[in-house]
Amino acid sequence: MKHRFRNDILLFAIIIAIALLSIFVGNCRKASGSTVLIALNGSTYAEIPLSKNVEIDVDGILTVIIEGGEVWVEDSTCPDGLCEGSGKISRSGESIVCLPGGVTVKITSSDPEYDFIN
Amino acid sequence: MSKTRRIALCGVLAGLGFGLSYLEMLLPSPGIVGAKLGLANLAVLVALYLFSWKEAAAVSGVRIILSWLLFGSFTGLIYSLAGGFLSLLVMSLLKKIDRFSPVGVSIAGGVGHNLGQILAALLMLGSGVVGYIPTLIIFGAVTGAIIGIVAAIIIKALRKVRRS
Repeated sequence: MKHRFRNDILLFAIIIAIALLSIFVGNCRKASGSTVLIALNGSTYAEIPLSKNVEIDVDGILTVIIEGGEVWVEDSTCPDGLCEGSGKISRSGESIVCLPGGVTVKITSSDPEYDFIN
Repeated sequence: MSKTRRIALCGVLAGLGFGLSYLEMLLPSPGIVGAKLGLANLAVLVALYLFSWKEAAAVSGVRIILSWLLFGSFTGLIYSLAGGFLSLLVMSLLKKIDRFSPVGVSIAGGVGHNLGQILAALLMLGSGVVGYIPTLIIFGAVTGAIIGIVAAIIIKALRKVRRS
């Protein structure tokens, strides 16, 4: 029984360590992004340069706003509103996800070497 | 334990899991996309320890279908099934190798649940969800540990009742 307790703690520590390490590595590799990729249910909905200042209505589900190199979500019709609460993103590899609406907003870099996701 | 008693207890556990899902809906969301407390996993864990993975799968399946019929959407059902399946798979395997207490099994189950959901999201929504994986892993491990501690107490008490 004592061993099991030790194993439990080990398992917990290893899981947390792996997750923290991947967050750290992900942050280190984040470069300034250049393109905003909006996808609806897995297929590309729009691809817009980050330098543009626009408001995009995604199928009436939510509005993506790109302004001054920052991207955020407003007017979401989804029940939990977590996408609006995600705040503003501006760097390559960062994303905003609306699970109920099936919308993902992702910033990618034109230089594939610095893109942490691809 | 007689078959009738086992079926009745499974029904009670499925009902309990369903009630816990409803309770979780009433609580404020943790504020991370795809993250849930996983209260209903209490019932699945208890079924896994008192009976076997089959009863746990039944409890989990009935709970998911009921929640879907009453409050869910179809995409919600896909996420729940993916999470429930991976969580149960991981928990059954860890219980089988017999190196962990219910707390460790529950930690793996919590992580498995969140990973299953994010994998389903990855298939349906594309790579935009990848950035959420580390946060969801940490969240699953923490909630899994809490749920596991509660489940361990319940399992111990129920085993005493069963013996008498």
